[in-house]
Amino acid sequence: MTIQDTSIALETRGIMKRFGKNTVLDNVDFRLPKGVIYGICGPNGTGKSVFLRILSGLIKPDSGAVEVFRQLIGRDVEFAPSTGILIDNPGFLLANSGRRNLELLASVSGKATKERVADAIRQVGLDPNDRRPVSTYSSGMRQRLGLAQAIMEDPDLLILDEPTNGLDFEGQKEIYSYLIELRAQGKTILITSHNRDELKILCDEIYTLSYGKLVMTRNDGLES
Amino acid sequence: MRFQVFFRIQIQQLMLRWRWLLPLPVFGFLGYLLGNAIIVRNPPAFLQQSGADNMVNAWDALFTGFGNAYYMAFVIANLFLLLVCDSLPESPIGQLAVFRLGSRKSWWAGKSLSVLVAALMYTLSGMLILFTLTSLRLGFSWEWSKFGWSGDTILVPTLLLRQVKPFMAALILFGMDVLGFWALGMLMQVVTLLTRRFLFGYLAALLLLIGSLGVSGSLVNVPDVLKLLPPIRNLIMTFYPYPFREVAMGWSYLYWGIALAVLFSFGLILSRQQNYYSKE
Repeated sequence: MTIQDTSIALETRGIMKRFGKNTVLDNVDFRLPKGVIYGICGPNGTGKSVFLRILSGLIKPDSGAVEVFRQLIGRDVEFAPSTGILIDNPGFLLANSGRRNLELLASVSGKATKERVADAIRQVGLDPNDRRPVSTYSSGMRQRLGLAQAIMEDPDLLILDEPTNGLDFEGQKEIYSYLIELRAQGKTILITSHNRDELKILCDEIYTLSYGKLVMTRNDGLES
Repeated sequence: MRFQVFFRIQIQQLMLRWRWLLPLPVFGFLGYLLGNAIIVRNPPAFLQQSGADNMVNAWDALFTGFGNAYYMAFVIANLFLLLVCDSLPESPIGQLAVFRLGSRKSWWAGKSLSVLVAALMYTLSGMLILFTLTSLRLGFSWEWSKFGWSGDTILVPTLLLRQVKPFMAALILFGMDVLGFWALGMLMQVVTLLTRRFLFGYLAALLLLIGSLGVSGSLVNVPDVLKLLPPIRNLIMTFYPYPFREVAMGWSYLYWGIALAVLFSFGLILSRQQNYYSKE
């Protein structure tokens, strides 16, 4: 049951997830080709974060399968391979500097050098030499740091949950440009937002998650 | 190397917190109470008149404090549970770390070992604080005091008291408590894995301890295996509510060893299905 199409970065088949009586995801099929930016929109509480967590392997679906780069989550690997994630509000060790936090995480994966960590911090508009503890960071700075941790290992797939949360307009524009640059480098990006306009700027295709169903929508907002 | 870094993050999250200063006032106050109690039973006038050295010493306070079932259940073990109770559900940075670690099995091993380190540090610091403070008041000696020599008065089994010096007895107690706290911490984690609420984990471990106080009183004239069942009897050296012990100390080590093996295995099974999302 592996995906034979090597142009696909991620595929889900029949994903179901319930919390109590609430069906959050109802038989969701989804395909994400390589080298594109796809967006998922929907109001808060519709299950976007849960879906992204399932894709990354952090949450197990009740039924269905997720494959990332032809590897079945839960059988071949426990978590999505070659993937960077930013889901919900990123949490860090508050007493450590942003750079120290990222270096620790990079040591767990063993996939990013200290120089690469510093580069990633620079790329999201933060100063890698800033020694202040994360507890002093604003919410926008924490969000940028979260994005830096997602990209620091140079993953082929990025799963980003509302990456521009807490950023001002200039900050949002910087992140958009950066994501578009990543796509040009061949990276694949899946992004969620409750702001459809944001997704319109960035995405090749936009999906809407509503009542547990994932439906592709055109840029004019109509369901296809 | 990857596991070591992950483990370091876990330890940092669990132990580099202000709450870990709490043992200082708690064990300090316990030492103050025990010092008072021992002096009341051995009035200073009597101690001076007797003219004999080593009438009482800090070991008396240490063994009485860590041997009293109520102090153990309501203060000492309870404080440990409070210190580590929210190590699960996994924190946001812990989730980022486990995602990079790539293994739920290693994650559970890291969680379990971090509770062991916490138990070691807690027991060591608790004993040191109590012992150091009461040394100032009651004095220090490498030998048993005359007050403690009967064993019953300081809640040490008489046979053990005849066989080993106080330092060795303290080591035996230390090992027993470290294993016990580790197991209770693991129980708390397993219940939290099941319920996703650390409060339930904490209450389960605390109720087991308090419940075992009640059960202990009724376990009379039963086989040795049953006598050992209440966890409180394996955290202190005597068989609460009696000031003596009927089963060798090694059985308590075995008791905790079995409990840890069962809890670790159970947690391993649960961790395979563990969902990581935001803390409650």
